[in-house]
Amino acid sequence: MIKIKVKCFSQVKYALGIDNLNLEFESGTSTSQLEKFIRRKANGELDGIPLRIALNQKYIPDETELQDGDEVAFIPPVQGG
Amino acid sequence: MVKAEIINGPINFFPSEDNRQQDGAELVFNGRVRATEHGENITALEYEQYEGMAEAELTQLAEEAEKKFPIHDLFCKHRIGKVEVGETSLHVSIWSKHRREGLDAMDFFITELKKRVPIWKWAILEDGSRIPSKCDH
Amino acid sequence: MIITPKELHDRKGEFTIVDVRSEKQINEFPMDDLETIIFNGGSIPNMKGSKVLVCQFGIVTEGMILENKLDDTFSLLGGAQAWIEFQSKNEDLSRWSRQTILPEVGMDGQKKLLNATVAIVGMGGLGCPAAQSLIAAGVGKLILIDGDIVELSNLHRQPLYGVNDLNRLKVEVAKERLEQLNNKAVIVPIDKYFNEENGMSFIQDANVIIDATDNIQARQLIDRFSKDANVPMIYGGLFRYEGQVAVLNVNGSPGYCELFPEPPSGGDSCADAGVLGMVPGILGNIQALEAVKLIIGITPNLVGKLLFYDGMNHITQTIEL
Repeated sequence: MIKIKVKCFSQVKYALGIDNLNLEFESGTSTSQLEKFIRRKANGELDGIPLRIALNQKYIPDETELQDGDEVAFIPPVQGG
Repeated sequence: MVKAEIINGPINFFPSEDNRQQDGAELVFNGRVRATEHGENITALEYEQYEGMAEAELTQLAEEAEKKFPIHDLFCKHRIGKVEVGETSLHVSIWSKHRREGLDAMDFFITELKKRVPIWKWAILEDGSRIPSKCDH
Repeated sequence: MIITPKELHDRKGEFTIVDVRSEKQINEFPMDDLETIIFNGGSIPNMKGSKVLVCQFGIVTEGMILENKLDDTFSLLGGAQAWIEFQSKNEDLSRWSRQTILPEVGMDGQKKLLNATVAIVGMGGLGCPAAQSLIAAGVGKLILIDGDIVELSNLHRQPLYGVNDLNRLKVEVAKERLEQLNNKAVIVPIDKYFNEENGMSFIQDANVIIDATDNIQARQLIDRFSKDANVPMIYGGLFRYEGQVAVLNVNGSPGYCELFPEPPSGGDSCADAGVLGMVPGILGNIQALEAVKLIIGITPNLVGKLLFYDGMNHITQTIEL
């Protein structure tokens, strides 16, 4: 099993009700599978909201296999400036 | 040279420097909080950041602007936390030899910032409630 | 006699369908795709052939059939409400019509239950009544976690198990019994004890965790995982005729460690202190009721509160955490 930290912001934080999640998954779990888990946990509140994925504070272009200790953030559309 | 900071609390603007003898253009952009957000009346916005990644992306973006356009310096500050209506949340100063590259760099920097830097707005409504802003531009 | 929306849909041509609702109800909740005779005055006229009577929620017409001893007449289970839901979403929820009639539940609430997952840690005195009530109410998935086997001394307070189940794994027996209450639910039996290594994987997919354990270490572990995965925990504890229930860790609300910063020492299990089975029966049902409220979003509830129940004097008291 691998331990993953999920950081929640903006609409994700609003939908899940929390800043951070500390979860466990089977080795070999991918970022896409984690996204499915998060969307399911949000009970439909994230439907239609595009989420970019940041792995260890860097945007990733493609689906990636997660490692123990990874920090993942699901980034809803940003609103700086 | 670039400087990019995320700060809490009111922004002290970068000084306009009269001894910059090679810079024919000095551009300043201040993004301010308006009284309505996506059609709703607000009293303030609260800016939230992904701590660590936001400043890293902001710095990287500033460096990209410096590489892409022949400007001399780009300094910016983005404020997080509660920003009242009328106050400045983003302050950018660009110095360049001529105005063209300065204007282009400013346009590029702000456009890309709004696409990439992990900062979000929470709207503080008139009744005191706090919700994620629906703004998408 | 009753007929479900699905059955009526399949056998439409066999019946004359009589809508006994008021004009207002008929206009507000029209029943599409169904040829009906509208009748809302006095007794049902004598008509040849089989009939189906329809009211808004399916209860009035059941009464009419019984009172008037009507022959060859069926009541539409769940009434127009269930028919409309079936037509639009192809889901027959009439089985739960006695709870969907509640304004706090309705069709939307029932669907939330059907889509929900509840993890129950411990299938003993608290877990059995909680699981029974939740399955019957239509919770879509239960994860049952307990490594114990059924023993003779369990039977007085764990009514899912019978004399023919001795020495079988509790979670397997429970799955068999519960499936009879609701054959559409998914029941995942986990015949292991909840621990540091496996616990998170059992609960992180759930909407709610019911703490039906009997020891502090397990509770503290559930509390930690509950906070980490942001899955609310419904604590249940009992001692002889008294019990406690609290709803913990709802989006950062107080948890077990905040409730008991210095946990009580000594054993607190039923085996040590003695108990009449009705007490965990009551408390397990309170836990199940609070789980349903959380899933549907019904308030008031016990989030951030601790309920004390005294079964000897029948006193309950609630304090804010």
